[in-house]
Amino acid sequence: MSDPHIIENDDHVHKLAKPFLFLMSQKVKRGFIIVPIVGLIISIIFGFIYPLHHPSPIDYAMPGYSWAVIGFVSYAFVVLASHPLFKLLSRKEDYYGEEEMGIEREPDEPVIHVAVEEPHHD
Amino acid sequence: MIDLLTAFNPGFILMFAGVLCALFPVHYLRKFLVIAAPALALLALIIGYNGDEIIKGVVGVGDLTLTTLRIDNLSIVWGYIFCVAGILNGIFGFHEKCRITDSSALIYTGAALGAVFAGDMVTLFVFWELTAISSVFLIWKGGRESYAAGMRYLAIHVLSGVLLLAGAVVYSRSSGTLDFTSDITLAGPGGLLLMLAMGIKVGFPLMHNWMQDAYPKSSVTGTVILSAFTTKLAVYALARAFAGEEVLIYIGAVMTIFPVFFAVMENDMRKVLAYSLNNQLGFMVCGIGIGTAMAINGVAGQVAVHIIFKSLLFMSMGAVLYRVGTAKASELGGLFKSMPITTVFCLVGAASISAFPFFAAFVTKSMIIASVLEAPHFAGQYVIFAMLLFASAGVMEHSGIKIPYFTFFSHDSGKRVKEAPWNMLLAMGLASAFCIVVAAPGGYQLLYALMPDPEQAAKFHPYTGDHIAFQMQLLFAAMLAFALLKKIGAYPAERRAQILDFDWTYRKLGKNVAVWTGQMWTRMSAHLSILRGKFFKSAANRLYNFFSPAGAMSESAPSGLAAVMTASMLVITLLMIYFGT
Repeated sequence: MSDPHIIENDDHVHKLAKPFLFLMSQKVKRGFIIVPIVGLIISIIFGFIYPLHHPSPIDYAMPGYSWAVIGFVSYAFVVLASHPLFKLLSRKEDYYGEEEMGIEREPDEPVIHVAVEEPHHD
Repeated sequence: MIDLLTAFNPGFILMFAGVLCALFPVHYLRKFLVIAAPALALLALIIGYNGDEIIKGVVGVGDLTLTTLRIDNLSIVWGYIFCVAGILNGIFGFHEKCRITDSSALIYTGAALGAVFAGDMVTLFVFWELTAISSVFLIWKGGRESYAAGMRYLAIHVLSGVLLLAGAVVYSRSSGTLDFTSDITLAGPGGLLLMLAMGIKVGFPLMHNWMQDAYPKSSVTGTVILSAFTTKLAVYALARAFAGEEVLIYIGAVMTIFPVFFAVMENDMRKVLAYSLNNQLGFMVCGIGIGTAMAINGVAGQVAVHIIFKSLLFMSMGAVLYRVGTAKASELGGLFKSMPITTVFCLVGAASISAFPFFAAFVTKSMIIASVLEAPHFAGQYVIFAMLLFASAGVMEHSGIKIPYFTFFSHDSGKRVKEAPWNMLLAMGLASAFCIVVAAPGGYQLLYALMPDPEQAAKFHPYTGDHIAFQMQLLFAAMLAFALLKKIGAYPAERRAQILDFDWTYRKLGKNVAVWTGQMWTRMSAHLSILRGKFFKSAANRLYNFFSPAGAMSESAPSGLAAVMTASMLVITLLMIYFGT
């Protein structure tokens, strides 16, 4: 606690954010997956009720749920492809010798740091 | 007064205000100008344009006849939205006491506005270059580290201008006119040069890196301003000159895909947004390539909403950078506790770019995607359609989820800051309201009224059961993939790194080749110097040995030798005279 800005309590939460602090609880984070599952099921049901007016061959192959498959596969592919791509393309931040420090600035006012229990980023 | 305002290109209003800003030492007076000038230009356009084409400001320069003002149903869309963006930018940067930013922002906005209303290619070229020169100061205001990026930005954009001028000269020599019209074709004289010039500015694949290089290094306000004009000006130029040029469909489709992969890996949120910008421009370029009335309507509408929601996203990240001092995902998280209003505005921007129903791009992006299927047959039509859907899922990844999640939610970074300043909140609030109003049932018709072909636009009904259902399938499926990948730990952690892109070729390879060439030249020069020295020394010695008092020429020669030499010269002379005549 050598940093004078670090404090134990969290009185610096904005008053408008206080009713929504539950969003950071582990229970909500773990249960978030329910939202897209339910949404996806409903939208697929509607996909069968309202078939596409201008279907493409993909839509003929997967009538009623084609865009769900495209969305899931595309997203997963992009994210999973980022692992080998990162290994291939990532270098140290000062690789170009210009130091990307231009991206970081002095904040207009000091940032207060509060102690948090959970580790930062998994 | 109104007649006076509508008598010349409204870009001049902003540029004049920009020059005044450079002279005014009073902060509030400058800020008044920064907001009032685009508002005045907007007023001039609203009052001056009644739906008929306007040609004014025709001036003669030497043998050239320049048309400095041409307003029609295409350019007016860009004109309106550039003015609106100028006002929002002015509000967002209200806190910043910087004469250079105020002045260059106004001149830059004015130049962009001037360019879209240019009736000929010389006027377009002048404004085209002016956008580059005036905007580079916004990058340099990012600090000492942004100097090199600014220089690269300037060099690339000046090159774009030179290509534009070269293309214009070749085109005018062939066609006899400098008018900037839709008669230009890629296969025609100067067409390739013109397309390359526009391609650089719009971020064609392999020409795109200036965006990701310069934008994140600009100042907080500068990035927001930069994101609005340069690339959309190029979209306008492409739509004006190359609508229906098939190659643009494929280029645009590639543009929508490749930035998605880079955006996932990037740690800096403003760089993520720069890749996202590139991806969105791909949709527009693709629509221009399709070229049907519906596609061009979609492009014009997408430009209008994209300028606002992309500004909104850059504003929210700018507010974070302003308060926290960094926009790197690895250093952020949990900021909704400190900046809840900014969080809401960012979520509106994220929903708008992801094309959620009732948010901005839902109407316009759908128009472009639908136009792919409804266009006359072209090679790979369904592949292009699938690529655009793939890219839409990618947009959901980088802008719909990554930006708000890792900044405002995710794991709490423990950083507590003040909410963004009032002026930033006001600008973001107005932009959010715009994103919602133009997508709402009853509201999107306002956008339709601005489109180049409003009658054709009215035939597109975005709020149909199938459209909403399938769009939601795409978005929910992407969200589910995100939640699953997070749950199993397959979603990559945000890490500080430099991700190599094509700019490696000139920032590293090109630089190293130049350094190597320089070193080799230095070494070779040294060797050449030695060899030169030896040669001259040897030659001097030989000459000395031949002509000096002790040399061969000083020795007494037999008289017979002189006689032989004289006779030989006589024979040569006689032969020359003989054959010469």
